[in-house]
Amino acid sequence: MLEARGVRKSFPRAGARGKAGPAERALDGVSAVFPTGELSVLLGPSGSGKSTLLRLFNRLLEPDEGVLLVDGADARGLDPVTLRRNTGYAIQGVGLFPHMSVAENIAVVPRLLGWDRDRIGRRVRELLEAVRLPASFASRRPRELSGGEAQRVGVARALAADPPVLLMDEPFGALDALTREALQVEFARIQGRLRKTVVFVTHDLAEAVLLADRLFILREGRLLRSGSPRELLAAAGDDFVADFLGARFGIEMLGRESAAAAAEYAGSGPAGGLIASAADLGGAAPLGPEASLRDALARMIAEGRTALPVEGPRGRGLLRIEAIALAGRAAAGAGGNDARR
Amino acid sequence: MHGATAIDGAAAAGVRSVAQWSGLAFLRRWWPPLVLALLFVLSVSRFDLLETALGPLLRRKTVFAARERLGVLALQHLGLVAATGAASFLAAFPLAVAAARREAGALRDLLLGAASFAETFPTVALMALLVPAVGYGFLPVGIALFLYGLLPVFRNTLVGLESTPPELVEAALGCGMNEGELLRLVRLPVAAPLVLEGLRVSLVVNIAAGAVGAAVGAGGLGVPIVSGLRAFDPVLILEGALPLALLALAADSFLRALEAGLAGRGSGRAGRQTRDSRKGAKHP
Repeated sequence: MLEARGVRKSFPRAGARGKAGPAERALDGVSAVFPTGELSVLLGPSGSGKSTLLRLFNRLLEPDEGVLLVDGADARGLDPVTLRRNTGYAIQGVGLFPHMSVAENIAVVPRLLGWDRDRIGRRVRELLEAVRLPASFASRRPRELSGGEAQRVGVARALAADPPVLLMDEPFGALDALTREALQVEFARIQGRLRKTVVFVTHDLAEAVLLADRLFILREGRLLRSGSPRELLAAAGDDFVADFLGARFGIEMLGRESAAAAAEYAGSGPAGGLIASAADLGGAAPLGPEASLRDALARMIAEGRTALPVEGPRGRGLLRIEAIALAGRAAAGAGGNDARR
Repeated sequence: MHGATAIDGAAAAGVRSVAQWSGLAFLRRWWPPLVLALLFVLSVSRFDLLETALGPLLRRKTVFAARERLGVLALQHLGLVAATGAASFLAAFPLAVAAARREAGALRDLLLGAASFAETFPTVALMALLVPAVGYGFLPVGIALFLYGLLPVFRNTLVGLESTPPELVEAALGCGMNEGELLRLVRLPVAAPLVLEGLRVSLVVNIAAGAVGAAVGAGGLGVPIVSGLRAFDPVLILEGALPLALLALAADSFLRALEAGLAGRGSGRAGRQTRDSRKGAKHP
């Protein structure tokens, strides 16, 4: 578990004629708890202090005031080098070392930890597989990689020594939309398996909603609101938060909801037997069991339909557009049909 | 520097770099220094061939009266440059590494200033000052070349170490490297091509400046040039000037090839095309 208590941090700002200007306040009394095994997203506009907060946890920065706790221990009492070797760190610029091969880049932390050759070799192969890069990439140089490939290597490097904590600073920020989405989905898959304590910085709402177990909304160095995406959808609690999350928030939430779970099935819904025949729906291709409500909505818009057949766990069902509109809201209180997690 | 990496994939990389070193790829990179070195050796050992060819145009007026033969002079020159070059590098490199540390503060500027000052001092003036102090022979030239060799190595190493891209430093610290590991595993390897460039400039400048040695009795390829100037004998001048020029060019192109090898480690062959054609298939 990571925790910040009343953390303040200012940076000196360059003033006129080289004199130090008034300090710029990056964090203004932030307290937050990032639970073990959960993916916490720090979300906010640029300059809100997200990255600053993140970098306090591996002591790349030191707070002016306040305490940072790593599993209950005061970070100031931990050796920064040891702390960082036990904390994965992935950044937007990726920062792969250009003179090292992909394998050497991934192996940096294990090497620093003094792992033996065989163990490192095995680990590198494992990680390349985990981030879905072919084993032949081991001997490549960073300059031979595309942006998405480099970012995969960056994630693999952060995971290399199997650290319990992962700090990620807009790791997918510099990628094109398609690659970014592919990597987000893949990272969600990896995290679903590894259950690391992740703190993830982003200003991209869609990314935040897709990945977050818990959202932390920051603005001008203050933590405005935190909670699960559903809690925030149900009650933003603040005008800025409501504005920042915006009307799109509900649509982004649909990306987490399973279409199969929102569909009606023969014999279960009030419409009963009608569903079975309607589910054929003029030969429309059924949505797969993995499809989200956002996928379903996109299909409906593209095909001009108001209902689609769904292949669910209990056979063929019918998904109506009304169900989509209700799903996000209904789930907010109940916390029910989130089949993706 | 990072050769001790304990990685399986490194074996595969090794196989590839062996392939790179063999045959055509090797020749493509190394033919200029090889050809120039060969020409240098020829210009020293078989200057008579050139003299015969030039015979109708340039007539030798004096027989080369120096005690040493051209080969000995060339070896003297090489020894002088190698010794002073190595000494400059061994002095300037650690100093630059020390000056690049954050704690160096004002010392950094002081050292850079001192090295720049040594560089701006004219060779002849420096010699004129050194000869009365340390006498004739190897010593005054050696000291002068040593001082001239310092700046390029010092400046390039310093700039190279200081210009490590910030995101690499961030990543390295984030991985848990301490200052020493950051220097050894990231800053120095990234700066290596620039350091090598400093060494190249330092050596090439000293090969040329070494000719002054003849004036103070240190021998070297300057001897026929100085004698030739006295006797108004173009052939004699050429006998020193041609090997000298070829030596400088050979050293320059050798170190350039080495720099290119360092700067482009791992790039090139597996080029862009293979990557892009595969990319489409891999990220649907």
